[in-house]
Amino acid sequence: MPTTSLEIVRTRLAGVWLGTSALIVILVALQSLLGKYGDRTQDAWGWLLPTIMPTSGVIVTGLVVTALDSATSGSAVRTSFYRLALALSIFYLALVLLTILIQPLTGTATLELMKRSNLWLGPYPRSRRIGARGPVRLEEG
Amino acid sequence: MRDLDAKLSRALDSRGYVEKSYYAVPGGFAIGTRLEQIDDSGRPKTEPARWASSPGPINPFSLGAYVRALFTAPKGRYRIIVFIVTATPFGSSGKTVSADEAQKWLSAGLNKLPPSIGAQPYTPDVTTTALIYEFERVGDSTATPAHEVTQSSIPGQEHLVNAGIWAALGG
Repeated sequence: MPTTSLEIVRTRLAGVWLGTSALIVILVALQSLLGKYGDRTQDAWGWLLPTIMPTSGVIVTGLVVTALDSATSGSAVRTSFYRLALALSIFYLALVLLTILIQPLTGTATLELMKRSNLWLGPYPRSRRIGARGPVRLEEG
Repeated sequence: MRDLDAKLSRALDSRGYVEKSYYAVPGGFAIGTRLEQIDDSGRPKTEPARWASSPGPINPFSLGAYVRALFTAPKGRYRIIVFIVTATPFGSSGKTVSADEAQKWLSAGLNKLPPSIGAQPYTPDVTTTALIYEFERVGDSTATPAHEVTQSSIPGQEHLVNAGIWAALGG
């Protein structure tokens, strides 16, 4: 069964999550500074932070905890599992980004669209956390 | 008065102002149009955005318009035109009106000119005054109220010219 180094898996997943999350945060910060949300900026961040921060936080914690741990540096993860985790992560982050980027084309009010996005982002948290945390848990086990 | 109403109605109909509302005013009548969305020059937006109460999607699409819509709050400009036909002089009350209130004018008025007013003679003292009520909403949510613009950047006559009513009336 093909495997991939845990270090590589961890680095790539962290790269995808932290890179895309940073892009989304910068995007929403710019929108906030330029007055896109008017007096409802807090509502926009109230949607964004719970959408990306929990998983990003877990990934950062995983990186920090294992930074000085040489015991698992040689561990490997099944490649199929790694690919699944990566695909779920990319798909989820693409949906978050799409929710923000598509708004000018729909004509739906920004915050209304964010609220509505719970329909397609809502079922995801559990699966994406499984995907993102999986390699960390493997290492723990 | 009936003839004048017919002329005004034809001009308004030809520019898409099919929904109108009549009110009796001292010594004459008033015709109000439906709230419409306009661009920065006072031209009506293309339908269906013209009659929409929110700015709606980008139309026409361009990269610049998309980036602007992505990062800034859309600004919607709206207008109601009211023609007052009367020999009685009148002035402004100074009160402002909300867009919601102005929108109700359409449903609260009459669908045609009452015969009793239409039969009134059109004397040289009768003047037709166009009142332009302009509103602005910043943000894309209809929950944000549109406020009346008391000092518009578009002069009254330009409103009528760019709405096409001026030409339709033979101006």
